[in-house]
Amino acid sequence: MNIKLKKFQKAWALSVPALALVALAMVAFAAACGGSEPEDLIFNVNIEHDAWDVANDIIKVKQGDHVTVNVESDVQGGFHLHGYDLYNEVAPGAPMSFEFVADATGNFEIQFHKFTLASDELATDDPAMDDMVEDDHVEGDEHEAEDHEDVDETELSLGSLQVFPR
Amino acid sequence: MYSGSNRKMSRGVLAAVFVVAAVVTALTAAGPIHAHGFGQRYDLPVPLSYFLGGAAAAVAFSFVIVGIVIQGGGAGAGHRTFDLTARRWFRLTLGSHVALWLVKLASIFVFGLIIATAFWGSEKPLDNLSPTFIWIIWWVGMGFVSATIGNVWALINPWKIVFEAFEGLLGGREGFTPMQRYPISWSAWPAVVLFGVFAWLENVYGGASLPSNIGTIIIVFSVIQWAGMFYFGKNAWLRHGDPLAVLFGLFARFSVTEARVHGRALCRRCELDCAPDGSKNADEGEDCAECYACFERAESAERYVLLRPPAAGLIRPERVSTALMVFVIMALSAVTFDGLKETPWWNTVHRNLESLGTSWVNTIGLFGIPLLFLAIYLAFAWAMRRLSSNAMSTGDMARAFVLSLIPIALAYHFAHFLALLLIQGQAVVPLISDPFGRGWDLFSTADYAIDIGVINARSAWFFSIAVIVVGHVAAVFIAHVVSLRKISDHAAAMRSQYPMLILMVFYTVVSLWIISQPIVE
Repeated sequence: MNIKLKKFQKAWALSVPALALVALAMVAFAAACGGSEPEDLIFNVNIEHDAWDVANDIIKVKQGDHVTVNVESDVQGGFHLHGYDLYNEVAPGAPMSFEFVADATGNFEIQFHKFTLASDELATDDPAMDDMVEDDHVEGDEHEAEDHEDVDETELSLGSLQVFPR
Repeated sequence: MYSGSNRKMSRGVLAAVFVVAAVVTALTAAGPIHAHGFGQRYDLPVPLSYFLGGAAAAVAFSFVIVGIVIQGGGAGAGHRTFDLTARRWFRLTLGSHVALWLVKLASIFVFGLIIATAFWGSEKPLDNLSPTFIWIIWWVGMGFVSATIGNVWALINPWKIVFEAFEGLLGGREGFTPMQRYPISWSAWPAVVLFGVFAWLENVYGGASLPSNIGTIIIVFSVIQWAGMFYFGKNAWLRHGDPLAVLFGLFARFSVTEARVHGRALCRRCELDCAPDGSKNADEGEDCAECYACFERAESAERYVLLRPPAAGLIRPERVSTALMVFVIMALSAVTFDGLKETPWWNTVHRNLESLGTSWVNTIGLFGIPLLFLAIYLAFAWAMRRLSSNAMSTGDMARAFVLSLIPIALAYHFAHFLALLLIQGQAVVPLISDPFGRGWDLFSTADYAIDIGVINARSAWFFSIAVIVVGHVAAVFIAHVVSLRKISDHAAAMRSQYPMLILMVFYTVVSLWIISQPIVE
């Protein structure tokens, strides 16, 4: 039994380098996939009836791309890209545009903070919601909603920006 | 024996269902605040090529292991260990009384701080230390630490430390005398029920990220913990009633360290029935491992901390109770459900059952999936018994092999949470400077902005696939070792493993499938 056990342990020890080999092969495979050059990409977004006109609700880019987003909207509100934490306001007849370099990979939610006239019955008093609104754009320098006391925000999830590894 | 534990099991399940229904009804009245757990996830779904590669690797390695075991055989119980306590540097540093005291003090300080910030800090989850600390640093991080380094929770469990302090002050040399001996028939069912409540709070209850709710949950849980320790004795409660001690203890079975007591005499006297295989009178058997009741009582010369190969803690000869089996299945299902509920598929289920409401659909998912998985697992255990024509009952078979599923659960936990821990975990940096959200800047880190690029998607994909495949390999290996020990006929033992292998490949592919799905909210 002891000899068998030793044999067994030896085989077990052999499977560790085997695993490492597979790991290496996968890394090599992954590394071979990359290589293309960063691009300049422009996306035109039109927000109408609480939705945007983006295919499958996903903007797809690759890491390192220079991205420009032009936004038009039928109502007043804030266009919020999570993760990158970019927040810009837009109003009917006043389109907005912003640009950034997509240096971090991932799936980043895009929300539209729709401004509506407040009515006392509908006013939300949820601290968690407040927090999502405030904290997600730490800079907050372009954020004016709180200045208008009669304005409420409704958060609409439009979709997401997906930045894939190059 | 089997029908007896079955009855116990159904009683436990009934009690759990009742408690859960009551809690859901009470809490859903308050209305959900977030539809999902705390912390935003930026994970990109794993591409198809990685998914297929991972699945192929899992199947291929399964055959490699089967081949090795068929040729080699062996009980597998013998593994090399390295005695840390024999090393001077270990005794002087990590193993010293001063270090242990400092760690315990730090744990109590953090425990107090989290309660304080929960009640007296900002009510905005992202401005308050409690939610980030509890749901990301502690819940996710503690799982990672337990599974790799060891059962650190047994050392820093704040309820245990506080109870011990009171015991030392008021209970004299022997500590408090338990009011009642822990009823053997209860087994680990209290831990199963409490873990169900915890999993529900984490996965379904929308208010779990609100600081004041976290405070209330901690206080209620503290009362339960201390009442349990006082009533049944600290060690009995930690072993059977404390869901976190049981969970992190199970995770730590995979880790590379173990606490051991030398001398079987002490283990046999232990009230926790922790002698290997439960054989109190057997002459053979080992020292008792990871039994903290014995560890506390032993002289310092008799106890030691060992380094061991990963997963070695899962192949000890021991008796697993039905309750612990259900606990493992629940833990496995809960971590899976955490990912499953973010898939487009679950979203569709939701839309079809809209009339029931979000909380009820998720509650059904959270508790239905473990029941379904338990049924599947028992069916496979039955098949294993049939194929190996073994005298063991289906229940014995199921209990004997359940620990081999732990590496799969751990692998999924790692794959699912790595990016969250690395990215959202950074939120703790600004929060330690301003734990109450009052604009403080104690350590000049309040302005730290989270670096969302800290882990590249490709590295995350690779890590996820690799860790799931490694978990699968470990699971298949453990199950084979257990089969050789439990079933004396080598060929029958091998036959018993065909169903187990199918089940494990199935579960691994489910894990891979979930991480290949886009996250929807």
